[in-house]
Amino acid sequence: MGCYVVIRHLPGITSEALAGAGLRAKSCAAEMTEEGTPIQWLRSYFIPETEQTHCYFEAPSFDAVKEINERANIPFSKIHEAQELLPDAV
Amino acid sequence: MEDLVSIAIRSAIKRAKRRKNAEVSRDDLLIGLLQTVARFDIVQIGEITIDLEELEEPHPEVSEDDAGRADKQKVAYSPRASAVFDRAARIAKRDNSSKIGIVHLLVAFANEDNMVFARLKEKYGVSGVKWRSALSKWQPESPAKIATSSKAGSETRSPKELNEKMFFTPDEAAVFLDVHPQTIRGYIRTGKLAALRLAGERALRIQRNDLLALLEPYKPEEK
Repeated sequence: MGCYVVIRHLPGITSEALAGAGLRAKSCAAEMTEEGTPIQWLRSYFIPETEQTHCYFEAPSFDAVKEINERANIPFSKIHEAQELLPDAV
Repeated sequence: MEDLVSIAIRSAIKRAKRRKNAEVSRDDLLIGLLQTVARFDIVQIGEITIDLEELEEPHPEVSEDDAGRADKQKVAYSPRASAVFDRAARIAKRDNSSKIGIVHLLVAFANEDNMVFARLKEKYGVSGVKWRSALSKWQPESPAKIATSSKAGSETRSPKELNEKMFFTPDEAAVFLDVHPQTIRGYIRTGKLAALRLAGERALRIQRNDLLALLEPYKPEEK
């Protein structure tokens, strides 16, 4: 399992509209996991100044992350594999 | 305990899959929401009483194998169903709620023109205002209570009591065979299971022998 960040640029998006997208992502993660592709939406950060959202997923592959975003109907600009760094680990 | 919204959405996705749709539509979502808060296929929201059996368009019953295959099919949210989620999120925010609840998702349908909501308007005279007004005073039952009642008939008839019965309602028949009530209704619709109608009534009864006749010995396929 790897960690992936999905970068979205959503001009005019509000934090409440993001909640709707979040609910779709959560339900698609549950559905894909039930289908045999374990995937988890970890957290998201919305940056109002740049109108960007960074969403973190734990997933078995890049394709699985792409698929969940397509199924949840949430547009995205890029998907990158990421490495997690935690304060306690350094 | 899984929350009501998750149960409703899962039900909506399952409906889309069973109907072999590529997308989870607004109809799938609305039916999923209503099924989750229904008791014996009846939804009571304020003064509005909705019979899901009347609301739901009939569809051919699928075999267990087909259902298993359908459950593996991949479905995405349609743009219009996605818009309902976004509207529900805005409604939740206005309602000072930190989470999107089942009531917010239902209210989000108030001005929709999807087939199921159009049928609600036509059959029950539900306007957008009436819908929002009824929902403003409505609270769904807790997931635990709904989960208990969703096993149709299980509160009123124990398996032991059912073993002594000659005639069964469709819900009791479902408990007797440990299948979903929709499976029994599907068997009746397609003629696989005989049912009797009480004179002058809508209510159906099924004879015990007809239920037992559905069971056949399992023969593993030869390799």
